[in-house]
This record gives sequence, structure tokens and C-alpha cells, in this order.
Amino acid sequence: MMRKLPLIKIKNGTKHYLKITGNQKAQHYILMTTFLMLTITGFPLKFHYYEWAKPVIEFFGGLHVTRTLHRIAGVTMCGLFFYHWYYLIKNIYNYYWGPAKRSGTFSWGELGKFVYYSPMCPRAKDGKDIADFVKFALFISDDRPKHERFHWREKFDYWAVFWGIPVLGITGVFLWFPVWAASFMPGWAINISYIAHSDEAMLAVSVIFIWHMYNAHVNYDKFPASNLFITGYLPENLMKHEYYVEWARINKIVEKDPSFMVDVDAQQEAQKLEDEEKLSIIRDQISFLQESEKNDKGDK
Amino acid sequence: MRIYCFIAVMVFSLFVTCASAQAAVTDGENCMMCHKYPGLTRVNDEGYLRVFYVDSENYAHTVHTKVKCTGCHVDIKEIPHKEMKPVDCSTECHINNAGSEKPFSHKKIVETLKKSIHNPDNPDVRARIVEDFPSCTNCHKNPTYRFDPGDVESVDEARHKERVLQKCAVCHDNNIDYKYFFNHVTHRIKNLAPSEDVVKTCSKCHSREEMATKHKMKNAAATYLDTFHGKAVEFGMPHAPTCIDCHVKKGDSAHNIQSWRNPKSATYEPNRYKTCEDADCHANASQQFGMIRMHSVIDKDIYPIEFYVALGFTILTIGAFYPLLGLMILELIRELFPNFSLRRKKKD
Repeated sequence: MMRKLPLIKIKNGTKHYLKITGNQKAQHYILMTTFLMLTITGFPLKFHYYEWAKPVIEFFGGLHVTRTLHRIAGVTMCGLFFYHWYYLIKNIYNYYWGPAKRSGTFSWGELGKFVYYSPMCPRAKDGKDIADFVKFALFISDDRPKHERFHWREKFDYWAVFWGIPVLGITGVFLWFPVWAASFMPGWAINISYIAHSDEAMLAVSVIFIWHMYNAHVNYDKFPASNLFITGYLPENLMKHEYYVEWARINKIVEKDPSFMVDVDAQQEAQKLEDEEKLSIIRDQISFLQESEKNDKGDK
Repeated sequence: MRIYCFIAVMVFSLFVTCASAQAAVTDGENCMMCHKYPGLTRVNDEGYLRVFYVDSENYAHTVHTKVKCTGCHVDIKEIPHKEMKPVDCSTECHINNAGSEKPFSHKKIVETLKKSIHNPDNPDVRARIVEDFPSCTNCHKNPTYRFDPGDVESVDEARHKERVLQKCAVCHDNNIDYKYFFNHVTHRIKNLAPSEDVVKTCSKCHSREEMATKHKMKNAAATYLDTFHGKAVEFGMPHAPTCIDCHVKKGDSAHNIQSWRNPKSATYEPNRYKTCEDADCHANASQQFGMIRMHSVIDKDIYPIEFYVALGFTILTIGAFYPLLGLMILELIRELFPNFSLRRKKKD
């Protein structure tokens, strides 16, 4: 039932720890491309008074084109939002609801705990982590807080998007179909949709392009770029440094069940030996046959 | 004999030269004798440089090229003349009204303008500052009417054909054979086409902040450019809605713009949606659709809902983004001094 992704991969002598799965990577890719597309087609309209606005619109081929691209990207992003809800509910069912019901051990309290301790749920520990981080940043304490799989910065980004997509999506639909929207709402509701759409987009872009890019790519050991969003794995030094609790958790699992660890180096080494062996058999065979042909000629 | 031939050729070439110069502009009164010189200027009593030069090439391509200079500058009786009064467009000029024997005049339009919001005596005017109100020449300048033969081809695709013909009806009676005056009509059609020009014309006054304050109004051009309508014009979308599309009632003249308080106005609140629901714009618009503000300003007194929503988002943005930025900077500083600590070392 569960597909086993290796929790640790050893490559070039370093351990790499699993951080995000293939499905999560795909969701991030869709979110990333639609977000960039929405920004590049939306911001020239918001900042129409700057000189760069017109060339950007013209690069795409005019307002008709950017408008269509913006709507396609927006609908895709909203589709991702609904898929994510499905993904969350599916995971609750697959990992708790289903197994617990079948084994007759289901309780609502435990379901609450399951959700509370799921990786993205804001918890009391995050508040403590923020306080500890501020103490660390102000030179009051010497140690960084020890984080779990997703630390408070990542949770902030996640919940910002969770709030941002409905706000931008709903107001976007009102702006797309104003006649329909005004058939059941007062006129000023479309005006405030416009303000909300534009201001919320500004907030999202500033947080993503400065805060998220800083945390994901610039921050200490990662500069100039992190390939986590491509590979899904983090090298051990980063994992231990930033996600100590998760690092310890994975190590414990791997200790118990070493099949969660895949040694890519060893596999490559074995492959190399196997290849050499096969080649030496073939080469020996060729040289033997050549030798025997020569001997035949000599006999005659 | 040879000398006569030479003189004849010289006279002929002189005649040809004069004739070609004459062809550029109708100058029966010989005004160009002086006004052809680009240096014909004077500094007037207020200290402004006045240029009296007339570019005959340019003038020959304007709508008024067939009118004699004295047709508009009626107070010129002798040459050289004294300083004249500004041209009054309601003057009867010396050409015949097309299709009749009556002398032509813009009087009818001037009267319409007097009834509109663009006249200081209109009861809806907030500040009666007479010198700020537009005269004909504030909006109409000869070069904007310059005829481009390329535009004739697009006449068939011109939006709202009936609006084109309605433009003719502003001056002429309905019994005119419009086809006959096709060439004449195309001049006016050109002015219907480019949205940018319309916005530019109104912006001459309505984009000026000091003028808006003086007249207790808001900057109409700037607030318009902040809407999708204005942005469509700005980014060159064909047939994007301009000031005239909303402020002029369908079938009416642009000279008859009324205040939104006037029940006859295109922007009168209870009827505003009728202006929006043009088939090419927002078909089936509801009454509330007309209430979507198209000159929205963030102002607590006029639009409190917009003001508080914008305020809320500003607080949210500042409240969410700047603390994060602060933490980011603090962290980077912390990384510079990894071994420094303010914590008191415990005494062992």
C-alpha cells in the first residue's frame, strides 16, 4: 500500500535526507509556475505607470494575451488549491482514518492529535521556536531552536498561500465576471475586490520574492541556490543544522529498519564491479577465440 | 528675339513658382505675405511669446483650409492689422452650410456647450472660476483633425456606424445625403477612433491636481487610468472605453456632457447602468453594476468602505512583511558574529 521512498540516500559520501515527496514536488512546481505567470502578467497592470509595464505587455503580445494567460494560470492555481484539499483528506484517510477504523481503534481525540502533529499544522512549539529564534538573533542565546520537518518559516509560507489563494481566487472571479458579480452584490463589492486582489497580490509577491527566496536559497549554507525543490532531498549538514528533530527522527527509523536507507554509492560500486566482470568475460572469450583461430592457421 | 524668349521663360517659371506656393493654402487676402515668416513673433504684455507664423503646409491639411482667414478673424479690416480678439467659433464664416444656401456656423454647438457642465453657469458646477472653463479651442486644435488617407479604409469597420452619422447630425440637418459628403465625414470619424486622443484631450484639464482642488473635484484622469478601462487604453487595446464612452449619452453630442447629479446625464446614478449595458461593453448590466466606482479614490469621507479595506490590507502587508524583513536582517547580522554572545557566562 505505502510506497517506500528511501528516507536517506547516500551519494558521493554524504547522506541526503528526504524532505518532500514526489507528489509534493509536483504541487510545488505547479504553484511556482502559476505564481510566476500570474505575477508577470498581473504586475504590469498594477504598476501601469512604470516604464517597464508596456514592454512586458507587448512582449506577450498585448493585453488580450496577458489577460488570457493570467486567467489560465489563475484557474490552474485554484485547481491546485482544491487538489490540495483532496490530498490532505486522502492522507488523513490513508494514514489514520482507514487503518484505525479497520482495526477498531478509532477515536476522535487521536484524529485531532494526528492532525495537530501533522507536519504543517501550527503548534505551540512554533511559538516557542520563534521566541527562541529572536533570542538567538539578538545574541541572547547561543543555540538555534531545533526544528521538525517544517519549521515556522515554512509553515508561515504555507498558510500565507492557504489564505492568499481563496482571497485572490474569489476576487479574481468577481473581476473576471463583473456583470454576474454585480447581479447579487452591491457595486462597491467589486471595487473592494479590486483593492483586495491587488493588495493581497503585492503582499504575496513581497513575501515570496524576498522572505521565501531568502529562506530557501540565500540563507546561510544554501547560497546561491538550493536544489531541494528539484531533488526533494537535503544533505545531512543542512538537515542537522536546520531540522535537528527531523534528522534525529529519520535516523531512528533507519536504525530500526535499514531498508529505508539506500546507498547509491554502494549500488554504483556494485554495478561497476558487475560491469567489469561481464566485460572481462567477453574480452577473455574474444581473445581466446582469436588465439584459437591463429593456431588453426599455423597448423595448416 | 532670343531675349524675348528668355524673358517669357523667366516670367513663366516665376508664375509656376507662385502658383505652386499659392496651391498650399487659400490665401485670397494675401495674409501669408507676412505670416509665412517663422520669425513673426512678439512678446505680449503678460510676457508670453506669441508666434504668428502659419505653416501653410500644415494648414492646408486641416478642416478649415477652405475658410478664408477673415472668415474666422472677422475683425481684420486693414493690413497691417492691430491685435485682434480671440476667434469666436459661433461666427458665421464665409462658406455655405453644406446642402443649403445658409452661411455656416458652429453656433448650435456653442449653444449646446453652454447648457452642459462645461459652462460656469450650469447649476451643478461647484466652483465658478470662469477662466478655467474650456472654450472650443481648448479641446479642438487643427492638427488633431489632420486627414490621413489610410484611415478611410477602416471606415467600414468603424465601431458604431450610427454614432458616426449622429456626429454629422450635430451640425447638419437629417435631410443631407451623407454619402455625398463622405470625404467630409471621414475627417470626423478619425476623431472617433483613437481612444488615447480622447483621454489626452480631457486630461488637459482633468489630470491637473491644482485644478481639481480648486473646483472641489478629484483627479478624474488619474483615477480613470487606475481602472481597467484606463489601463486598456494605456496598453493600446483597440476600442477601449474612453471618457466620452461613459460621459456622453448614446446618440448625444460630446458637447452636451452633464453633471452626474443631473437626471438627464449619462452618469446619473439610477440610470448609470444603462450607459454600461451597451452591447459591445457590459450586456445585461444590473443597476448595481452601474454603481461600481470608476473614479475610485481612497478617501475616508467619500468612499469609506474602500478606505477601510485598503487600510486593512496596508496594515496586513506592513504587519506581515516588515517583521519578517526585520527577522531576516537580524539573522544575517547574527551570522556575521557567530561566536559573540550577550549571555552572561556562568561562573564556575
